Amino acid sequence: MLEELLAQLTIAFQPWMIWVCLMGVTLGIIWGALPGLSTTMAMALLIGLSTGMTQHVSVMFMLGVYTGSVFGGAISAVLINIPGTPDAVPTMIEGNQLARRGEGGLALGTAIMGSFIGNWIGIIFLIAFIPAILFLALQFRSWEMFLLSMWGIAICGSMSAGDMPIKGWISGWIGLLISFVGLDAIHALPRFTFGARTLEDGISYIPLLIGLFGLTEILKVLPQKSPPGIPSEVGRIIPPMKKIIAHSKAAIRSGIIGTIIGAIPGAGANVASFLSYDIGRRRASEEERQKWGKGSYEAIVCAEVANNANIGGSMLPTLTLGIPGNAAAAAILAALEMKNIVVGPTIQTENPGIIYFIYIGLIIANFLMYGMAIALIKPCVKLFSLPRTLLMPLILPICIMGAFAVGLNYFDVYLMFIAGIVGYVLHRFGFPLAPMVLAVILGPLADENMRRAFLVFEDKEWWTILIDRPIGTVLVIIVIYTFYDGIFKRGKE
Amino acid sequence: MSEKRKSRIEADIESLERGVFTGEEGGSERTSPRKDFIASIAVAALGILAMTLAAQLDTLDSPYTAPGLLPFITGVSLVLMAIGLFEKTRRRYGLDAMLKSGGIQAITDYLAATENRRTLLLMVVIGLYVLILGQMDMDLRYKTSFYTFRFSGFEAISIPFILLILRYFWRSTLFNCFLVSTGIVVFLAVIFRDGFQILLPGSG
Repeated sequence: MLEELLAQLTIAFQPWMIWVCLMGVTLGIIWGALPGLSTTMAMALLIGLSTGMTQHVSVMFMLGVYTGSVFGGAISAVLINIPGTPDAVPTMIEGNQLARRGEGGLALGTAIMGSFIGNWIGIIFLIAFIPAILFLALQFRSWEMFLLSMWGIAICGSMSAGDMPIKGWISGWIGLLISFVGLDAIHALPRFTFGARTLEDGISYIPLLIGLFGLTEILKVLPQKSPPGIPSEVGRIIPPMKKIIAHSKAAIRSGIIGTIIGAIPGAGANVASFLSYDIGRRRASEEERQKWGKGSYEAIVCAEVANNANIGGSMLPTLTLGIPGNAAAAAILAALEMKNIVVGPTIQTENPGIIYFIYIGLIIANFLMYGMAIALIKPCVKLFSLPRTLLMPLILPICIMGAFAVGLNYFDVYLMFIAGIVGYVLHRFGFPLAPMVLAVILGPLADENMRRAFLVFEDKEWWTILIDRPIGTVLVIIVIYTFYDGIFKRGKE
Repeated sequence: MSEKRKSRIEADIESLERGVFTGEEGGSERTSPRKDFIASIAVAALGILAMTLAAQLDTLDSPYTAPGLLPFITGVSLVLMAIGLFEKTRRRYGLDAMLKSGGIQAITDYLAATENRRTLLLMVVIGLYVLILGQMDMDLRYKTSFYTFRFSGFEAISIPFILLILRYFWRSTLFNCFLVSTGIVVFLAVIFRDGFQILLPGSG
């Protein structure tokens, strides 16, 4: 173990690796800071750029982008009252109030410190819980893997659609249908291919991801007209130590919330920052609560720590079970799989050392994020003067190049375009997109494992499947509860 | 009937103020009973289609390993979910609100909104861009002692299309749009092709 760790440390601390990570963090911060460009969009599009990189370089780059873009949203939220990413809305409410009082720099400094602490909490939880979850995951057989995949899709639907979980589930189930296209894993029989040879390889989820989160975003944002106002002064950035210590309790609580939320499939940085902000308000002292909504530093800490702790949390199910914690983690999963890294219970045996590399990568990215965030605040202010009508068309060629680069197959570009249109239509009808992507990833896993499990239990009574596998039984109850909660509880709110 | 829409930010702020859970992607788009009615019909149709196609697949050795098993179950679940969506919307808004169809008027209303027209136009332009780029197979090279300059189908198609989109949406001068589109397309092509050794579409 120590040898592996040292080997990965040697790779991760090569100057080239640090440089790549810095590039990823920088791109991520700028991307996240630009209004309308979300973390998932950054991740989805920059996968294309990582296709030409080697395994470790690609992982380092994507981790840098992920870490940078989650924080980046706070810059525009505080300075121009437009959140770069949806999870920065609470930061916007509080930070912009402070910016109007001339404390924009300090609000941003608090956000940077909060993000730094949040990332650390997420990383610590990731390192602490991976061995336990990997041990548990190794007990999983086909039946459990099938149930886990279905639960992942169902909970993602529930978490992403708010008061209409049924729409999230529908989106996920449509994703399942998409995942069935191609030759089936057991008999190699073509399914839903309509005689087209191109479809026999199945539908790659990277063009789908780019279409749903890149092109759909362009179609949503470009036709709107909303020029942002530009701030003139930023002021002091680094917050005094006294202020940081004063909010340490809120930071730890928010970090735990963010990590747990991140580990639940479908619940990403948005849910984490909103929930942490809400709980923070309820838990704040009377004096602090008065400031809530009018410019509270503690509120910024709550939101920023939670959305950054979410990164470590989301990596937990992604690496151990192969189930992405959120749409951005799905992009990380795609990048890992593209580099032949098999995620899931056997990650340690099939890719020795890669988990250590990911830990180290996250730590390096966190330090670089802290430095770059401070350095990039002022250049980002200049970037805000660029209208979205100028920025969005420039993303279009990246979508096309990214979709093509994955398999060097132009069919993927058509697929990306169709996914973009479908994503836009689904968005207009109020359907979330993350469950669909998750289902396309998990569909083949669910299909193969369900049929294998049924084959094992073929000669037994049907109900024995429910009692012979205790972990499976627990998962059945969880799946049923997820649907019950969505239909009878959340649905009635 | 034009629907009152809230922006993502407005909806998010409202949910924060009310302490209501809107979900990871919730609040981004407010739907209407009519939209939900159309969605439930479309989802049910998709479910039935999936069931039909799945039932047509061969059941090879055992029904438990039939390739169409999970697709069939998925189709059935989609039909049930469509019924659930229909029922939920009916309970929330009533059948009249769901069935109140504007007919042709609804399409006219949709097209009357500038943003919708711009979106449709953008879809058409991007569609043409993707389609024409897919037909291209060109890679011109000019070798010098220090660098090989290349101009492929990607640049040839991307520059005019990005120029067109910029001109319509950004509304700057033709020269500015040309400068930006050429600069960015050439920059991206060089980064992808020379920096990361990735082949570009349309370059043969």
